[in-house]
Amino acid sequence: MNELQERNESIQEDVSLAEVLKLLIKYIIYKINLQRILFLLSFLTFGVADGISAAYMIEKKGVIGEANPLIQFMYSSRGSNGVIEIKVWLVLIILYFVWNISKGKKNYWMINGFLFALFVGGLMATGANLMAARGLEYATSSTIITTYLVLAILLTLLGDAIDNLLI
Amino acid sequence: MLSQIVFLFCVTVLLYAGLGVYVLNKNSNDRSNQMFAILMLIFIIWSVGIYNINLIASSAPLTEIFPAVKIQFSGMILALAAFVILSFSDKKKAMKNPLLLLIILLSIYNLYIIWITDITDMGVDVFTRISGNLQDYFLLSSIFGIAGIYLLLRYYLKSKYRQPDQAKLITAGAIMAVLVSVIANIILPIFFNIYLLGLTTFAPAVMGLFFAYAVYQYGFCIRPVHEISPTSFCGVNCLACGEYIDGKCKGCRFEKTRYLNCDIYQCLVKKGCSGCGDCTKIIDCKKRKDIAWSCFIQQPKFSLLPGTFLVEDNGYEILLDSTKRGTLGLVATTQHPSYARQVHDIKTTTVVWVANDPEGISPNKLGRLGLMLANSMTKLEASGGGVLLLDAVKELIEVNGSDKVLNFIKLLDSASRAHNVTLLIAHVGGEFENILKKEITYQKL
Repeated sequence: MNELQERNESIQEDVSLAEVLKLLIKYIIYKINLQRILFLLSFLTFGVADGISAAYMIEKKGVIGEANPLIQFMYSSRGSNGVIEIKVWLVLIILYFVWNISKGKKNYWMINGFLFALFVGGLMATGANLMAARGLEYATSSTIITTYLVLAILLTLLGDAIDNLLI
Repeated sequence: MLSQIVFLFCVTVLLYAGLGVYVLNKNSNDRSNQMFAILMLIFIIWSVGIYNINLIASSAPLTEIFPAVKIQFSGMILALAAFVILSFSDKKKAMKNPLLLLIILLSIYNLYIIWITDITDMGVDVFTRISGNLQDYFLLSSIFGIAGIYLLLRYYLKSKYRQPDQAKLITAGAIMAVLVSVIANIILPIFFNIYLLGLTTFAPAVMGLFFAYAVYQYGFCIRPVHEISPTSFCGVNCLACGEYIDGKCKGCRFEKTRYLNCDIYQCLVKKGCSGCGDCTKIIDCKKRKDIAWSCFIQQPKFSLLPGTFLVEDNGYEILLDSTKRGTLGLVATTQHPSYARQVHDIKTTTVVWVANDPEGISPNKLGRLGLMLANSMTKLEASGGGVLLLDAVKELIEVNGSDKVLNFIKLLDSASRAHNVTLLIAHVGGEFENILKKEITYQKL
């Protein structure tokens, strides 16, 4: 009898946990949209992944492998933590500013364009860091910077044009 | 060379940050302003990249580069942090946001790290090599710089609030910046193999300086114009107009006889605009300045009805407010007429001087004064009503005694009701005012 009761309680616990998870997923699906995904991806790639991969690459190849003098400075001063910290600070400041002006729906695609460029720039930088650390041929920082800036301009403008059409 | 690069860098990024903040604070909900601010952010990132490369490309020894790097990095951190913090319209609310506080803390921490780091912490290979080809940086930088300048101009020129003189200044700045960029980044390095680092960094600074001067001189193109009205062509706010409130006018957009006789309307027809708000010359337009408010009737501050009002020290203010709307006024005072006109700004109002003077009416001749004021009320009635201010009660009491003056005021009170005139009695105070309040039916403002 006791065994049956314990089993029932265990099933009840399982069900409630599943329900909580289900509700959580529902809540995330309800809350999430393309812009929020892009905010998250930009933070993860441009900030976290680029910072960690840059620190990893510098440890493998030395500071001479890094193009950005600020990163060279921070690594020389505070090691890998300094590199990750400055990258996270930079991405936070950019994303916070963009978030500040993204309220309302009239600039939805303009902001998405800017964030997508940031995401692509972060991906390219991370890829280049990892390839450089492995000794493979990698995209130069001039290519990455230019691609990012041109994409940022083009996609922001494209987003603005879409917003203009939708308003 | 290094000090030049660092100085230019700090000026440039602070200029861009300042411009972005200025525009967002003007109107953060305007899409053009948001776009402009994002462009400023991209320009800051671009400037940081280009100036960093230039620092390394200078090939100066570490002892020289190190202090320059410290100043440059500090400038970058300060500019970006200030840009983000000051771009919030509600700064007090923003300062309560934990994410912003984290950003501020991290910025302070970064500045701390930069300034406590010693040159001995730097390895031998720090700031010695540029990843990639220097010429690539220069070429791509100039292309991006030109594209950015073009975009700024495009946004500026399509703004309906731009001003012609400001447009010339900004265009001149853009042409200068493009010239500098092309010469320093394309012509000199490619054809003559000359790298002028100072000059390559000058293009964004030129553009920023011209933009900043144009903003300082003329305000900004994306300045919101608040005068646009749904009821008038010129943008005057009819909701505050006396005639609109009284129902005498629906606004010139809905009054054919009004707009057909208006020069502003004729000008708009020629230009094909639906209102002054659509015209690019709105800010400098002399015609609009001269004509726009000519049919506007100011809503009175005080609502007056026929009968007696006991007023405090603001009798002249009430009278003036009423006469500004075209109501006729009359003042009986012990002050000399020219003095009263000058002090109270009642230049066109008739003043009856109560004084022992051949030009005035003696205060002891109450009957004569009463008759004169009653006759004046008849004339005021004929012109559609008026306002009479009696500012000599104290002096009249001193000469005639309170009983006679009380009867005199009762007479004026009756006459004012009969002739559709507002009688204002200036503050007397004391026992007499209490009696007066009991004896006559007065109104309050």
